[in-house]
Amino acid sequence: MKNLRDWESHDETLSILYQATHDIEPPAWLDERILTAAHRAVAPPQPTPATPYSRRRSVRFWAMPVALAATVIMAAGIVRLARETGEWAPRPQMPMESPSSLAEPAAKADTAPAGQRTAESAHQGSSSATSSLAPASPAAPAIRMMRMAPPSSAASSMQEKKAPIAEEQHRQDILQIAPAMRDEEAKPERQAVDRPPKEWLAHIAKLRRQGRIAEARASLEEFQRRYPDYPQPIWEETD
Amino acid sequence: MCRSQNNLLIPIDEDADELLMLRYREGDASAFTRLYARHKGPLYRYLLRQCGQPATAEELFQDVWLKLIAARTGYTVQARFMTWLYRIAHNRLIDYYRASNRGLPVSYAGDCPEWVDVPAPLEEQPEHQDDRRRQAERLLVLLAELPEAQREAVLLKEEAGLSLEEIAQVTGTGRETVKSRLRYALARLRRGLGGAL
Repeated sequence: MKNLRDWESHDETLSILYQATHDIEPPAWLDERILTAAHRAVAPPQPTPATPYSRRRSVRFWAMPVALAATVIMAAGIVRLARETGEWAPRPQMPMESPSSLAEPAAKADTAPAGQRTAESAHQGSSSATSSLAPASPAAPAIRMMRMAPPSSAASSMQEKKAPIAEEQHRQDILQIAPAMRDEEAKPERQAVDRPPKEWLAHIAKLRRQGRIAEARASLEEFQRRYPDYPQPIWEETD
Repeated sequence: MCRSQNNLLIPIDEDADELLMLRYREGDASAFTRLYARHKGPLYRYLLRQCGQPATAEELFQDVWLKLIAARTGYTVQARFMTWLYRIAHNRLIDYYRASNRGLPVSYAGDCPEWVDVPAPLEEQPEHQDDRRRQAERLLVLLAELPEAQREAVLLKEEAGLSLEEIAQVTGTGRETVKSRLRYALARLRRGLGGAL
């Protein structure tokens, strides 16, 4: 500083006067910015946090099991629903029947009140159309009865607790109706059995003439079993 | 005491700038805070009065400190901290001048002709020159009218308290050049203040 004492390069009065202008400072935001940068520069490196179990990752992890479970539940639901609505009902094992005997129960079912059937078809929508394409079966009345169940019961049967009850109900309905149907069909045959041999054979011949060959053959077999020594009629083999 | 790269012992007290800078280099952020608090005002005023615009001064001021922060790891005590700090500031200022439309002011030339050609400010004798505050304001006006190199020499002397040698070191010129700049600058300021001093 000795050099600055030189009058030419230092003026004490000017220096003192200049000191009076020292009221200007950098703005506070600038101070903060610089200090923050300085502190960050020497801050110890932050330990890299373990990769968080991201939401995307967890979603990807669960996607496959959830999709699988959903598929299984949906498939089970569809199968159950199809069973309940009769789409997938197992056909009762019946002996070979003639077309007329098969048509009989269906005709009986058709005798249900028209209003009832209309309501039924309106309620069932497309499923009724599907069932109408299916061949008439003796179980048709049972199926129709099941279809007439209120929709709420069908919907609730989707629930696992109620499903066995619905299945049981279905089975009982079939059991109640099937014997009745079988009795109905067997009635003329039983009547024939009770007839004397001659009349029985006449009945068989009538069946043949009517084209009910299967029935005639079954009746004949039964006749032969009952009366093995009775002279057998000779008919032309038409079937 | 601190040994410099040239094996020179530089006396350093506990609160010296150099020691604070060494502590900051080692990771002591509080040392930087103290350094900054000590030098922010003079450095800001130096830049503000050299460029004349607060916004530009703020930008330059920030750049200087950020350069210092970035250069901390290579810091060694070769000279006074102030010399290093103002050397960074001077270089940033020169870059600013060069980037501006005006380019580097001619006053920075070693044999600057303007020292004699630039007309001295008119001597004004306001009626109330006795007001010290107004005198200080007048001084700032006169300072702003000085050629940049002369003004810088004055500011480095008044704000940073640097010696002729240190000013020469900072500005990259010779000691005699600095002395001349100061002599011309002070003469103009005295004239401008009209003998009120």
